[in-house]
Amino acid sequence: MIDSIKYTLDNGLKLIVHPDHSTPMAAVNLLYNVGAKDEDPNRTGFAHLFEHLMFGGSVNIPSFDEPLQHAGGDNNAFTNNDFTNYYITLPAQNIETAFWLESDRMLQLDFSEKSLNTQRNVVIEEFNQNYLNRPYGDIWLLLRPLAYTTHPYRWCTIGITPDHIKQATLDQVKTFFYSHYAPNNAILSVAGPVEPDAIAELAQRWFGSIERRNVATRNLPTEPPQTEPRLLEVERDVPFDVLAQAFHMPNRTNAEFYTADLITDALAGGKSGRLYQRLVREQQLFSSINSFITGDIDNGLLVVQGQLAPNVAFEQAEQAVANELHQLAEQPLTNNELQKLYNRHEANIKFEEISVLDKAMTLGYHELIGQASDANLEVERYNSVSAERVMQQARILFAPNNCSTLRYRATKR
Amino acid sequence: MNRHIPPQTSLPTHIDILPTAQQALGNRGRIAIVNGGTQDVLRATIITESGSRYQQQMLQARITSAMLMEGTRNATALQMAEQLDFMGSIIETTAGADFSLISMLTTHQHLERTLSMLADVLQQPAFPQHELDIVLRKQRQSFAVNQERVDTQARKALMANIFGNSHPYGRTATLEHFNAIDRQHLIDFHKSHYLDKPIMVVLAGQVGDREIALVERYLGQGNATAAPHTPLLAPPATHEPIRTHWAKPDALQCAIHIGKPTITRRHPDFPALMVLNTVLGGYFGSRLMTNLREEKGYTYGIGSILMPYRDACLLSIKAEVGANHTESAIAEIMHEMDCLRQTPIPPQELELVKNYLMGELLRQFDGPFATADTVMGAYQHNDMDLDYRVRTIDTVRTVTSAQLLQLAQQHLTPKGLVISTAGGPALS
Repeated sequence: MIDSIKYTLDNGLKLIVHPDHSTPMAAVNLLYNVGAKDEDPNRTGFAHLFEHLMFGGSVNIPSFDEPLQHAGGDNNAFTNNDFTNYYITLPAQNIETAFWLESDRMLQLDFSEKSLNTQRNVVIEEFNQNYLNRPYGDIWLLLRPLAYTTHPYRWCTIGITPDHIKQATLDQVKTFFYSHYAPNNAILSVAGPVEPDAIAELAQRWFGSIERRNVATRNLPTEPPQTEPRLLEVERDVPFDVLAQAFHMPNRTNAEFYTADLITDALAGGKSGRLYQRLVREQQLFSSINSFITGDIDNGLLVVQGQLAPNVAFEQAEQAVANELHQLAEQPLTNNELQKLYNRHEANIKFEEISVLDKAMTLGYHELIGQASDANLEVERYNSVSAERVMQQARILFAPNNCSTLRYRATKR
Repeated sequence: MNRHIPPQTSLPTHIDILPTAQQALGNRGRIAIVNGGTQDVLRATIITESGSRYQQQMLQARITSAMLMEGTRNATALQMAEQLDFMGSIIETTAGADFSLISMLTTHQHLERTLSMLADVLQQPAFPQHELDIVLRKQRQSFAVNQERVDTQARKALMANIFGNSHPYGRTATLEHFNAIDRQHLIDFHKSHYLDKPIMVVLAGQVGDREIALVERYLGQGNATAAPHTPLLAPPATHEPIRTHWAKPDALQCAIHIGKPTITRRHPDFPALMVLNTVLGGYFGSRLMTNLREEKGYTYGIGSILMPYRDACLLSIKAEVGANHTESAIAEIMHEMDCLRQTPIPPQELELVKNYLMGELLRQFDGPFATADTVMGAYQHNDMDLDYRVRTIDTVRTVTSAQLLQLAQQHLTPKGLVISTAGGPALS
């Protein structure tokens, strides 16, 4: 249970505060409602590149990191397809430093060619390190454009190609900033040993004078329903074949989102999951296998991905996966299996409610997709998924026409 | 409000560390208890002297640890997984170079049931052949995949060159070792290193008499014999720098691992060396990050760590850099070490690092689980000397630029360095 109080400033900035007096540390989380899905298809990777530039100094403060480190603070950020999230933890008595720093970079970044030049190179190295120079690193670069033809989820947050990053200009950076970074497009969440009204005063003092901006209207193309199975085969210099299959699933606020998530738990949540038991242990077709959802706000993907055992053909592996998925659509989960899935989620949510940073992030995220207090409804929402709904949803998800298959073939050496 | 003027900040001059209670278990083992927190979550970690340094056969420690959860005399792997998942409890095993850990995360409601499973995992694993075949195949495949990575190759060559191929910390496995390991190796290793040696249990969370009594009941069984510890020393680092390279012509990036043995956590200068290492490469604003990432854009990230072993410690710097920047990156790393030997750290920079570290220390002692991590570190790396943590806090507050300069001249020298790179064309 995460209790919180919500405030809204006149300029539209939302503030969520959760007091937790059991720790000397405070977490300050600032979420901007802009992600890779808001990018121009010809300039992908921009939201993430921009996140890097947010650490290059702002209009009144030349260095973001130095004053924060001076206050005993630590910080980082991440970008995904839906939003960009900046976070700070620091000793609670220095919390105003976080407000000072975050409000100044919301007010105006120090747009500099030098910073852009360097971060372009850094991000290209990140692209190389995590996607291109690592075995299987490009699976998502292949799978997304296979599963999506139209919606901007068809590219990864890192971008379609390093060339897009190389071409970013300072003018584009400025335009992006003023059309997405704004108090009326952000959620500030704070957790720690704090008094909510004092935090609201701090927010007003530092963020209150930043004027609303014209945030670009989000008008994303809808992904048309998939009407036939898709297959992509690639060959790479890796030691083992990998199979990845993606299925379109409901969006984050749909009640069946929770059903799809529970389905992946039944398939691969822990070692008692069906795919591990049947396909790794019993039939020994895979050496490892996993299933998960992308968790996107718009219609996302449910993924099954596994590394094939030697001398197993793709066709055989795909048939075995299909049998397991089919069974979920035909036979109800037992009460015992369903209860196990509920319990796992309840425990995981409990384990994740320990650190102030986790709590601040959870609150900001739930405010984005609905309201912060809904974080406390998650357990109930998982627990309301019935065996009947699992079957129904499995039938829709695992229809052959809803499947995109990537055969990632190892070069014979 | 003037946005040019930072808000006032202050940092505590003193950090409260949650106390650690210690007592003996019935089987010559010990339990350390960190009581605190507000959540209904309990964590117990069993530390056994069963790391890879003790193995007679390569992979013996790692596969024994991986097989503990694959079935006991009382339950199959599937039954165990089902029961744990049903309770929402977690039991995990990991093997290191010196110690192996079995850790448990649960709620008060399921403590007893989870502890009884934990006891089974520790005391009565069955090592079924069928499960062993599956674990070996999975591990063999993920090992083979890792061999393709430049950072794996650079790290292996670093360790082999620092310690030597026959040293327990330096030898590395090959694919063939996966064929040589068998069930009897696991049974033997488990007996000699999990059952016959005393264990340490670190229990954290809201712990009362009931919880301690339960741990005693389930984990206090058996009769270990305490054997004296035989230290494994690192070879002296007196040679000229050694350069190794693993060529992979089409790699986009080169992994650079640079390291040497240095003083261990038992040495009185270690806390100050930790501060020095932070300046060099231990935080986002470090010299290496500023130079190689923020100024030159050679890499996504570079860091320097002091990697502790029970009887040794490595200074280790690593990064993956664009393949055309390898030599410049190495030169810059050597240059940054040189600067710390030549010029005292300016007072402003030292103050910044000290403040950053005070914040880090507050995080390290924030709550029972973080504090228990420091207790586990003390047990594994400096004979359970918990005062080490207080000395670290004092050193961060008081160490001077002059002391750090002297330390840099002793420890950040090229003598004994191994410069290991992987990725890119062969060296000319």
